[in-house]
Amino acid sequence: MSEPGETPTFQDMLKELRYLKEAEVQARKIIDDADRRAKDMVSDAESKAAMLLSENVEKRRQLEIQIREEVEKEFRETLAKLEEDYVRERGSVKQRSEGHMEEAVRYLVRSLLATR
Amino acid sequence: MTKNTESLEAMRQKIIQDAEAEALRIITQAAKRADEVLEAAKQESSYEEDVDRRRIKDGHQATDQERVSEAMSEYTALMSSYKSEIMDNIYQETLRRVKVHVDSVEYSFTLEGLIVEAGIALGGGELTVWVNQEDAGKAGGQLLARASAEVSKVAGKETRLTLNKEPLETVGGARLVQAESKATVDNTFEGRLKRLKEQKESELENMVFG
Repeated sequence: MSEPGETPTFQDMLKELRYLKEAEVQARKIIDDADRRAKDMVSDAESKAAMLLSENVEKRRQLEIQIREEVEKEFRETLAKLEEDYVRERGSVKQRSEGHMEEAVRYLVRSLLATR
Repeated sequence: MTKNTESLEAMRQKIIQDAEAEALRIITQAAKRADEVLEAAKQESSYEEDVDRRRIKDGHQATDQERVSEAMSEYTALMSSYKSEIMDNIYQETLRRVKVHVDSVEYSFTLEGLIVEAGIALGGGELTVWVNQEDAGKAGGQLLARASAEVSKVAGKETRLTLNKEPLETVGGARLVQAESKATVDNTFEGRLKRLKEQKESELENMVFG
């Protein structure tokens, strides 16, 4: 290397240039490494995000099955209750009508036979 | 170390420091971007789960409501049909008992009453009387003559009742047709029962079903 005040030789200048060039290469490498790491980080995050969303699709499918079963169960219970109500109501109608059938028939016969 | 060397070293360090600063900026920005991507995915997942749960449940419940309504309608129809069946049994029993009366001696008075009632309703005049084959024997002669006189008296119009030659298919009672207007009064027991059903339907159902 040349000393201050001393006219640098071509060789010295070449050496200094190479020295700085090496630094530049090293700097480039630092930035390239950072770029690669940055890309990896984003890409990793995107993969995780995609996985999360894909898990979500599966969760949604499971949710759909679960809710369908819940609703189906509720429906079956409602249907069973409706049938129970119907059977009870039918029994009650049968009982009530049996008690009043004779009265109705007599009323009808009387009405049919009665003239002015 | 000479000054020139120091200056060169300072330049090298500056280049490296700048590169490291740039690298740090790049990494920081990437980390921020990665966080944003993950956060957005998390938010989307969480949001969709809530929305899906509601959407799926609402969808199924809407269909379910329709199915329940259909089932309720079916049971209502079944109940209505069961009640109709009971009422039909009552009407059949009524006609059976009326038939017993038709076979009794008192029936002639009833038949006369039914003919007179129908004749008055038609306002008298030339009237044709339709009865069944068995009643044709009972209605002939005396009965029709008495009935004609009664209708004439009440309706205030000369009345002549003529027995139709063709018999009518009925349990009993009579159907009268006015010769001029062709107006008809169906006073057979089936006709009377039909009118009773129409006029007293709710009253009868209340009586039977409470």
